[in-house]
Amino acid sequence: MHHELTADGMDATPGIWPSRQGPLRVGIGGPVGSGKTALVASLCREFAGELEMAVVTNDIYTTEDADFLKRAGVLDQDRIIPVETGGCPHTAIRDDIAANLGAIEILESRFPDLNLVLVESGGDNLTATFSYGLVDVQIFVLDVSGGDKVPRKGGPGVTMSDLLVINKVDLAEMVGADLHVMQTDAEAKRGSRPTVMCSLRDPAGGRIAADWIRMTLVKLRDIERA
Amino acid sequence: MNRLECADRAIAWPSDEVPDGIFAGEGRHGAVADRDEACPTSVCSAALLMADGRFPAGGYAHSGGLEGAVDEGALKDLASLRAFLEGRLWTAGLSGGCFSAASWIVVGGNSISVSGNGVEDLDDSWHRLDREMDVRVVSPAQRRTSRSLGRQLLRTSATVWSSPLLSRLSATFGEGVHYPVAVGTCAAVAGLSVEETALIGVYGSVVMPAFASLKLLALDPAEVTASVVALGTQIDQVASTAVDAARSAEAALHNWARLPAPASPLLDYYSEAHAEMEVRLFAS
Repeated sequence: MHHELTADGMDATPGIWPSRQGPLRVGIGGPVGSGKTALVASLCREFAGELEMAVVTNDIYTTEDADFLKRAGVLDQDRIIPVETGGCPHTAIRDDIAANLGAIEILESRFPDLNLVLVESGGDNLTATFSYGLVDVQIFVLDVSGGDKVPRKGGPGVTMSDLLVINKVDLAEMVGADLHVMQTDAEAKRGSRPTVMCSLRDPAGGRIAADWIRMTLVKLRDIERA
Repeated sequence: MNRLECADRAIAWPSDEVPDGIFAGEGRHGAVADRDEACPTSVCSAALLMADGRFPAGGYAHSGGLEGAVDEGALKDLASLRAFLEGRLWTAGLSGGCFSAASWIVVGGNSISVSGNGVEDLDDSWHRLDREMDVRVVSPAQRRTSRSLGRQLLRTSATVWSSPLLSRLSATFGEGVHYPVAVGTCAAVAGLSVEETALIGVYGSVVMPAFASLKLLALDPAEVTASVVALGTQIDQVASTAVDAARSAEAALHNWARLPAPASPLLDYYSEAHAEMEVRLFAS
């Protein structure tokens, strides 16, 4: 079921590349419960020993996601900073990114050799996207159990994200979701931007997103050299 | 009080006769300086912008102690909200106004220069001012919040007004400078008057918890707005008191220890209790 991702797919990412110094910043957004934290945990495992990375979490309230990641032991605690969003997760990643920029700045000063910072959004709705003042690329995570109409409904998360991850394909039959419909609708909305269908409970699911980030890093390096 | 004066200035002064003192700021932020209309209205809009809750410097995520008070059961309705706002105005609001005004004076106010006169002196003045603010903020949680908001305000303002002075203030305080000190410096860079600066510092201390109450108590937004308006005269009064206090301390050889130190033990308590809450909506 996993979608093959080729280097060609990368050409579809928008031409917004960092003029700033420092690590690649990847935003991870999507509705509540779609698997954002699972993706972050999976990426942490994938990149262990390969990249110097850190994570900023944004919760609707409290620091639940940061606590989960710390308990999961996928990353050292001092590499995870939670941002509290006053009940407005979309504001913190889009309209007023000051607190998130502050968190990234602290991580960069703690770990000068960082290659990658993941910024996880608090669970929100289909319109919540990251400001490119905060991240370089963004991944939007949907899940099959939210209904197979979601990709057709579109919204900035589905249409604008640089990578769309449709998670929990293993639940499709149980919730009566048509994966083919979801994939076709997503591709129609997204043009040539890549979409992957996977289950993040399976390590192979996270690996596809990790490969996409690896390709992004290669592209970034090539651009910086040019 | 200042809005009218500001509008009057806009009407009274043709752009080619702008007094030096007020718009010494023109040369320091290129975008504004290049426009013919670098006139009082641009200062007006900068003042409105800085006071606007949508100015993107992270304030929306804070309740100014209100969430702690709500959690402790001290605040349930519009009447108790009004009492809370009034209390905050005359304590945290007054401190905020005083140190915003003092910071505006420290960086040279209307005759501010890009680099700051006497480099070492300025850093020393900032440190002295920041220390005086520190002793007035008893709660460690409030100190952390104030420094974090100060840092965020400077970061955003550095992009908005491109002033080396703002970068320098950021660099001087690695952990962040107290919020009112940042407000005063940003306001001076934006070309505001000391009265406007104090007003922004004071007004912010009231509107932050006022609008947080919408999420925490589900009050009628129009009623909450009316509560802020009802405090209008007092807000002006506190801002004016703050300017007088800052001018008086300035006259006493910049002795910032003379600035008022209004205490609010309950607010300190709520802030500390908030920091320990397991489930909370706001960062402070």
